[in-house]
Amino acid sequence: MTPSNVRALTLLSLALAAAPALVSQESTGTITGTVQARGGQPVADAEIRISGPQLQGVRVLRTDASGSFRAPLLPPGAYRIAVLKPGHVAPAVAVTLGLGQVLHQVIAIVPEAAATVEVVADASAVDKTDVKSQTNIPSELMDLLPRASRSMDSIALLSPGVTTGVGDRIQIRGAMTHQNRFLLNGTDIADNLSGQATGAEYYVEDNLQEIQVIQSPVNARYGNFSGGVINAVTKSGGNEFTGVVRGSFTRASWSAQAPRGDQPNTKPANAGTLTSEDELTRKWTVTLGGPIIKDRLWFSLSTKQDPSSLTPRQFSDVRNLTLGDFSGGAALGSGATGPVTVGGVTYTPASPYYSKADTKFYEGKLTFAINPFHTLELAGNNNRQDDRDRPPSTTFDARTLETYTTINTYLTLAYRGILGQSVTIESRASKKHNQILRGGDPAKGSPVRVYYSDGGLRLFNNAMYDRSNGAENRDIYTYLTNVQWFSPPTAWGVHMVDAGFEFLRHERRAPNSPSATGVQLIVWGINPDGTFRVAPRNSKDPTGVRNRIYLIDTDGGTAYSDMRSFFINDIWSINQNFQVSAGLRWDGVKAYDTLSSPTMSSDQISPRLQGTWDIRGDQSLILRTSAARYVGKLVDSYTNKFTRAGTFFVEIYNWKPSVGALNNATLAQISDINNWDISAAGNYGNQTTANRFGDRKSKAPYMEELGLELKRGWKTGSFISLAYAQRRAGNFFNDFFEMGEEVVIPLKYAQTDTWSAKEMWRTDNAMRRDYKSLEFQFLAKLDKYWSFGGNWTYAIMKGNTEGAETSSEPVFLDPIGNFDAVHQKYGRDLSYYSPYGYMTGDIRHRGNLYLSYLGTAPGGTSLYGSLLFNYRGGGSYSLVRTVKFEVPDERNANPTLYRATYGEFGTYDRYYGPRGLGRFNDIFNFDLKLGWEIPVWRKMRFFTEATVYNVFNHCQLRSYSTSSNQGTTLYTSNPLAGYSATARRVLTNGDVTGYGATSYANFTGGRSVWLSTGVKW
Amino acid sequence: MQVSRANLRKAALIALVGTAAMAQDPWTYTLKFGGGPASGGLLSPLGRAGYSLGADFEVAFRRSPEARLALSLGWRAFPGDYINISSIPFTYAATNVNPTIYETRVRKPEGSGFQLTGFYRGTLSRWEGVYWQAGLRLGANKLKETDTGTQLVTDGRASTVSGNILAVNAIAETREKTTLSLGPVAGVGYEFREFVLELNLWMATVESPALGKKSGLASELAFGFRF
Repeated sequence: MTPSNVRALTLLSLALAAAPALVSQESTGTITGTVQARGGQPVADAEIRISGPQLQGVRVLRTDASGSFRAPLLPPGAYRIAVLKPGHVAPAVAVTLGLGQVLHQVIAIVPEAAATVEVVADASAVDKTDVKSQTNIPSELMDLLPRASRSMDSIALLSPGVTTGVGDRIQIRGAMTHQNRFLLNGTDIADNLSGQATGAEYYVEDNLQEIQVIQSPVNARYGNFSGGVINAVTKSGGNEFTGVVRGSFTRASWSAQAPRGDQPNTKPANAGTLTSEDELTRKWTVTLGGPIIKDRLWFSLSTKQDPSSLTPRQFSDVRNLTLGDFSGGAALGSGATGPVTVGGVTYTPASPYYSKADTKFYEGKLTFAINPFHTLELAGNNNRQDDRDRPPSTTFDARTLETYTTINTYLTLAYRGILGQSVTIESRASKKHNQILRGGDPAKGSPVRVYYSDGGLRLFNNAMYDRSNGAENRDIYTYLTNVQWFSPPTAWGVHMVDAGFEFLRHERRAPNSPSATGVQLIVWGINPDGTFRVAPRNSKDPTGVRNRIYLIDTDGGTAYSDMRSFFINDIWSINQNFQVSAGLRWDGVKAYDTLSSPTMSSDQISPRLQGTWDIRGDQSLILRTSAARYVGKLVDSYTNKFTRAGTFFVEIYNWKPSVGALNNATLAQISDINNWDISAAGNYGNQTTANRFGDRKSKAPYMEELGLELKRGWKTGSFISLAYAQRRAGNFFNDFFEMGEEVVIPLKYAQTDTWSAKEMWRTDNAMRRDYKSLEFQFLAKLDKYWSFGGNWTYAIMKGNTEGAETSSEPVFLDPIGNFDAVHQKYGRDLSYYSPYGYMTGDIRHRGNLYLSYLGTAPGGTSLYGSLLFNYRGGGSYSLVRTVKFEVPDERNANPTLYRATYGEFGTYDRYYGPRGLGRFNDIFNFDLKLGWEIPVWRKMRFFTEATVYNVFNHCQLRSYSTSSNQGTTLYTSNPLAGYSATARRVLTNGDVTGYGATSYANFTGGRSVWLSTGVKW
Repeated sequence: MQVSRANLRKAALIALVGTAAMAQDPWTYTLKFGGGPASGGLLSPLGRAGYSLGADFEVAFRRSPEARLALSLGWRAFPGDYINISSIPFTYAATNVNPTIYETRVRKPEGSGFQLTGFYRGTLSRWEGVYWQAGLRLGANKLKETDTGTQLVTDGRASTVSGNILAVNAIAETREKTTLSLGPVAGVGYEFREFVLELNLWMATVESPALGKKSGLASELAFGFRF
C-alpha cells in the first residue's frame, strides 16, 4: 500500500467513521464500514449486503477504492452485514443501529484457503462515533426496565441532564420547561401552550421502536428549542407478521400505604373503605405488523382497548346549609334526607355517582419502498377519550354534568431517498391536532351559580363552557426538507454537509366561552321550589359580589404563528483524529392574531460549533468540545396573549336597583338582561386583555452552551462518558407595569369607558437563568446475559426569577419589572423581591442505575428482569412572605394623577435570604421487573411480567410543610412583618400541623404492583 | 515523524486518562463509583440519613504479581435529612423574662468532600481476579447546615395577652465547617474483563457547626471501569 493510498484510506475511514450521529435524520441511522484484508489492505469492489427485519429488501452496496461503504437512512433496529468477494470469506456481522446513530464496522476478509477466519468485526454494535450528548432507549430496554409508563416524558427521565422543573414538567439542561421539542415519527406533538408532551395520547407503548433524548443537538438541523429534543419512532412492520396482545392489571389494595407522618388521623388515597375504590384497573393493547407486499409494502397497526373506567364521585352536600343571602331561610337541598324533585328535576345532595371514561385509540403506519433507494412512509393515529358525567364545578344538579372529550391525532407523510453515491434527501409533512370539547348545550340556557351559607357556590341548570363552539383546538403543522451531501475524499479531508429548510405553523382556535349562551349568572339563593333570590347592592352585600351577571364576548377566529428556518451544517473530517462541525441556523417567526393581523416578528441566528479529537484514532477514546446557541420557539402561550384565541372578555354587572330584591325570581327573570344594571354604576368589574400589549420585536428565548465530553468505548459494547455542560439563558418574556401608564378600556355593554394599568410585555435580559452540570453515563456488558448501566447528573441551576415557569400555564406573571420605581422609592432592591439563588429545577443529584438479565433456556423459555435504582435530589424552597405593596397607597394619594385603581397590585413576595435557601431530602428507591416467556405455537410466545415499584417499600420523607403564616391572630404584620412560618403545634386529636410537619402526602409512595400478560409473535 | 506523532498521542492519552498503551503495562487506571450506608457518629449530624455516595479516579502500580499500590482521588457526598430542631408552642404561659424567644427551626445538613486514598492491594490466589486492600483515606469534608424558620420574640407575657409580641424574625442561616481527617480503609475487590467490583469499609469524619466533630463507619459498594 502506498503512502497516498494509506492517507486516502485513512481520510475516508475517518470521514465515514467519525461522522457523528448528529447528521442522521430523526427517524433513521447510518451504517458505515471498511473492508480490509488480513494485512489491513483495503478491499475494493466487495459486495456489501445489509439486511434486517425493519428494512424493506436488502441494501446492496459496493466498497470503493478505499474499501469503504456507507448506508444511510436505515430504520433503527438489528442488522446483518454480509461481505461477498469472490475467493474470500468473511464473517457476517450483527449490529444494532439506534435512532440517529452512525455505526462504523471494520470487517476483515480472508482467502477461502485460510485455516482460520479472523474476526475483526464486532458481533455487538458499538457506537463509537456518537459522542454527542444523546441517550437512546430502544424498545428492548424499555421491555426490560420497570417503568410505570413508556410516555416520552417518563422515558426521558432515564437520561442524564433531564429532570423535572416547575409544575413537574420536563426540563433538559436547565432550559425552561416549555422549550423542548417532542417529535413522534418526525411530527411535532408538543402542546402549543405548555410545550410538553407525554406522547401516550399518540402511540401504543408496545409499538414504540425507540426513544432518543438529545441533550445537545449541536447540528444546525435541529432548532425551535432551547432545551433539548425528545424523539420517538414507532415500529414499521416487516416481512414477517409480528404482534403483541397485552393485558395489564393493578389494584389499589396491591399498594402499600405511605406513613401517616405527623397526622395519624388522615387517610392516604388508597386507604378507602368503598369497594369501588379497589377496582381492578385493566389496560388492553394490541399491536400487529407485517407485509402487504413482501419487501415492498409493510403495515403496522395498534389499538388500546381499555374497558370503561369509572371514577367515583359525590354530589355536593348542602343538607346542613341555608340560603346565602344571610336570611337564614331554607335553600334547595338543605335538610334533605333523600332526593329532592322540583319542577321535574331531581336533585340529590351528597349522593355518590360515577363518571365514565371511554377511550378509543387506533394507530397505523405504512412503509412503501418504491425501490431499495426510495421510501415513502405514512403514519398517523386517532385517539378520542370521552369522560361522561363529569362535574365541571361543585354541584348536585345532574343537568350540569358534562362530557369532557379530548381528541389527539397526528398524520405524517415522509419521503427518504438516496440520490446517488453522495446525496440523500429527506422530506416530511406532518400535522398534529389536539382538541378539547367540553361544556353545556345552549338549548339548556345559562349556567347559574348559587351561594349557600358556607360562602361556597353551587352550579345549576347547565354546564359551564360551550360544547357547541368547538371549544379548544391546538394544531401544529411541520414541513421539513433536508439534503445531505457527502464529499469525495481530498487532501483536506472529507465534508458531510446538511442543508435544509423547516417550516412550523402553530394554530390555535379557542373561543373558550365559560357559558354556552354567552351569559353566566350568580345569585345568592335558590329556594326549595327552585326559584332564585337576587338583590341589588345592599348592607349585606355592599359590593354586589353575590348578585352578578357575566356578559361574555368570545372570538372563534384562529391565531397562528409561522416559524421558518434555514440551516446549513458541515462536518469536516480533517484526518483520522480530528473533526470539526460548524453550522448556522436562521429562525424567523411571525405571529398573527385571530384577524390575521401581525402581532410580532422575530428572527435570530444560532451558530453551532464542535471539535472532536479521536485520541487513539480508533474511536475508542474521544474528546469533544462544543459551543452552541439554541433558539427556542416563540410559544403560543406568549403570542396568544395578544390575540383573542383562548381569551374571552367579560363584563360584570350588578342587579338593577330599580328592580329591587326578588325572593322568588324565575330563571327567565334572572336571565333577562334588562333586569341587570348595565351601566358604569352597575359595573362590578371586567376581564379583558385590552390593557395588554406586546413588543412587536419580542425575541424568542435562547440558551448558549459550552460543552466538553469524554467517551471511552470497548469493543464489547461497554462504554462510559463524562460530559460537562454550562448554559446561560437569555431573551426571557417579561411583563412590565408602571405607575401612571394607563389605558382606556371600553365597556361594550355599558357603552362607557373605564381605566386600567397598562401591561407591557417584551423580552428582558435582566432576568437570569444559569445552569452547570456534570453528566456521567455508562453501560457495562458484564457477560452475554447480564448488563449494568445507567447515568448520574450533578447539576446546579440558579436564577433570579422562575419567570415563564411560575404556573401550569407557562409565560405568566413574574415579579421582575413590575412597579420597580415604587420598590426603589421605598429603598428595596432585587434582593428583597427577586433575589438570585437556586431555582425550583435545581436538583443537585439525579441518577438511574439498572442491573438487567436476559437469558434463554433450552426449549426456548426466556427469563428476563431488571432492578432499577432511582435517585433524586431534593428540590429547593425559598422563605417567602406576601407583604403589603404601596402601589394602591400611591394611587390613592394621587387620585387625579392615576385614574386606574391598582387595587390588584396590593402585595408582593418578599424573600428572606437568597432564593432556594431551603432544600428537601434526597430520595431513592428500587423498582423490580421480572418476566418470562414460553413458546406456545410456532413463533407465538406467551409472556407474564410482574413489576414492583419501590420493591423494598422504602417510604422516604421527601418534603414537609413550609407554609408561612401571616394571617393568624398569633402574629401581627407591619411593623413586625418578619417571615412567619406557621407555628408547629399539636392539635387536640394528636395530629401535628405547622412548619416542618409532615403527612402521608410528604412521603414517597409505598410499594405497588402491576401484572402484565399476553402473547407475542 | 510517525514515531513522534505516536508519542504525542500516547502522551496526550496518558495526560488525560493515563491509559496504558501495552497490555503488560504495570500502570492501571480505573474510574469507580458507588455508595453505601454510614453509621455511628455520622448519623446524628446528618439527620439519620445514613448513607454516602461518590466516585474515584485511581491510578495503580503493580509492584509484583501479587502486590499493587494504588492512589485515588475522589469525592463523596453525605446527603442529610432534615432535622426538626424546635417549635413554637401553641400557647405559652408567662415567663416574666423580657425578652423571651421561641423558635420554629428546621435544619438541613449537607456534607461532601474530596478524598485522597492510598491502598496496598494484594491478590487472593485462591480466586482469580479477587484481591484484598487496605490503606488510609485523607478526607476534606465540608458539612453545611442550613436553618430555616421563624423566631418569635415576646416580652415575657403569656400568649393570651394581646401585644406581647415584640418582633417576628426570619431564621435564614447557613453555617459550614470543613475538617481534615485521616482514617483507615479496607476491603475486597474483584476484577473481571474491563470492570472491577469492590466492597470497602472506611472511617469518615465530618464537623457539624452545631454538634462538633463526629466520626462513623461508612461502607460502600463500588463498580468501576478499568482503562
